[in-house]
Amino acid sequence: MSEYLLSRNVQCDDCFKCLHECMVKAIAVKDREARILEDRCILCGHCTMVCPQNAKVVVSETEKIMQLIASGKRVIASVAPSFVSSFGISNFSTFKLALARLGFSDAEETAVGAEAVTRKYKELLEEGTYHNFITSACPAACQLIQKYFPNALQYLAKVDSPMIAHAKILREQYPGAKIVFIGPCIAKKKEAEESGLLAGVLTFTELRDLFTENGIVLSEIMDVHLEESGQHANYAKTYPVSRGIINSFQKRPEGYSYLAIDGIDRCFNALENIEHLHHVFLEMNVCNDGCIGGPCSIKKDGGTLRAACEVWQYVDHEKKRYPVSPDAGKTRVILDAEYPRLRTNGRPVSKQEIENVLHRIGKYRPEDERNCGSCGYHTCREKAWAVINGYADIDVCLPYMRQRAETMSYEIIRNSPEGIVVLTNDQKILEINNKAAELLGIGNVEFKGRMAAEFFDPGEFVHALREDGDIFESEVYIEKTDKYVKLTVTKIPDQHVLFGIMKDVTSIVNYNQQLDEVRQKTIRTADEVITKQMRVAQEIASLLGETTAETKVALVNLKKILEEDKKEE
Amino acid sequence: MILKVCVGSSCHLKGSYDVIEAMKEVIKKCDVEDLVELRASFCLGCCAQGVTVKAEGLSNAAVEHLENGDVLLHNVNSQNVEDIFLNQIYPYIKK
Repeated sequence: MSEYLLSRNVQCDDCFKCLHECMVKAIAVKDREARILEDRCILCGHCTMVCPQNAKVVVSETEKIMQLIASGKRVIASVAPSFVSSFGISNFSTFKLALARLGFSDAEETAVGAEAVTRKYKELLEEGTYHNFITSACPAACQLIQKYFPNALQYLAKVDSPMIAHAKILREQYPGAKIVFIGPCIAKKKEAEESGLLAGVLTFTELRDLFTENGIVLSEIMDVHLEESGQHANYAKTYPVSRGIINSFQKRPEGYSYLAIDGIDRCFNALENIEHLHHVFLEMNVCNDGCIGGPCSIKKDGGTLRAACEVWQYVDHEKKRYPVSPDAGKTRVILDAEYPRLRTNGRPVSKQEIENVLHRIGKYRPEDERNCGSCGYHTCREKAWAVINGYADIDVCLPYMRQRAETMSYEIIRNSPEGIVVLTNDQKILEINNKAAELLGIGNVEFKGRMAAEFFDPGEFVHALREDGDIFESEVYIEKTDKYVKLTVTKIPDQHVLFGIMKDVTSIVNYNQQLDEVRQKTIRTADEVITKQMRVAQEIASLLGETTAETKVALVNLKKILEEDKKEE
Repeated sequence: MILKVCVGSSCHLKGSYDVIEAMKEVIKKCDVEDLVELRASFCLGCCAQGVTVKAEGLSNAAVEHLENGDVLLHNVNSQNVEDIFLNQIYPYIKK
């Protein structure tokens, strides 16, 4: 199977917009990358319109088709009637001329096929075999029913879409010609390829780019009307607007209520309740307001409302211009179609598996399942299903992530080895962690919101508030616990909060004190030694002095005796 | 594909009736009633291994589970039917 819609790998972290919008959850966001699940996708193209990164791109067939034209093959365009609103012209002849310039050998409005489809619908409605009748013109709606509402398959009209019908008619008219559909639809690309009847599909946006590249300006093309013989009013040109199919009947068969459903959420609603509906004709368009709101239509001021007006006016004009034909839509071509049930790859999951996933993201009770939808899925259980099937990452759950983040930071603050005190500017307590409570000697009491002064002296905080700088450091002695604390107060002006970190420096202070004591003791000892030494020295000196004096006296006496002896001789 | 639930004496005593009822429900829940044919079978010869269910005609993806081309599932009961069906049968049903 080839791809029609791609998801480019851009920065699509944590956006989930496409997944939110995707009604059938055909997008897997894993490892920060969104991927389209082709088996689930119905190609409604909503994701292309909502992606803020423009990451969803329609696979272009422009090159393939231009090559086909260049190869000299006869290429005929089947143009969806919403060209009126997308290109803002109400003359198909002009459009035909523009397409001829690109190399198309001919062009017809797909409404030719639509007319045949309406005729076929009418036949079936008159037969009355369908209990309810769902139109099969919108390929995305068909895919939606085939994949997700097998119960409604019995009501889906077994009739070709206008594009296929037209292709069949054209192939019969021009054998060997290649047919290219031009419209605002992505799902048509798949439908065309799978039918094997068409050579390709150009979207209106692709065609606009082609016109620009080739310098074709629609308003500059001569406004001529190429009249064809036997032309009649084609009521089926209303197909692209909501209620358009209903209005395409010249006279509606009786026995059914005719309702038009547009927009995928309304389609869901209708299909979910289909069992309760009886004798209802449902015109189903997955795009809001019908094909004119298609993902590849060209958006203009006035939106789909103006677009609808333009289409209605175009048809009114047609009705005035040409006669009504009772044979409208008559064709030899067989328009029977089969819409088999299609199955998606994801498997259903058991209750136990879902419970296991829910437990892993902290959901144990029914009230834990908040079904907030922030992950992109409608319910927690749907998300669990996606996780089991490998379409989603398990931890992408806002309440779970928030809870986890909050618990982590709370735990860190609570168990920090440093005391943390948070006060408001007017000294009310916001937070005191375990360590700070221990340092400040605050027992097991409720302190949150009370004045700090009731529990400790917030002097330093007040001081910090008056100071100029943002950070204020000081050392504080806390008498109550006999602790020394290095306090760093940080001001958080935005929050009007003071944030204090306390470091227990008691042991360092104590050590310094001891060191001081040892020093003092050493000095004292040194002093003692010095004085003792001095005293000893003095004592020695005095003793020495005394003996010297005594020696002196003795020697003097000796000398005296010797002198006296000499005189006597 | 065909699912054959053994209703031999042993399996019957071990609750194959409940298994069939539960199996019906699971098949309905998974919306594969059109793809799975539920049948009862005479003794499959695994009387000592609890209620036995034989799955025939699964896709090639299940080859490693196969025994002579079929899968025999043992010890099935009304509690684990859903789990067994979703994990060992559903992924291999030919669509």
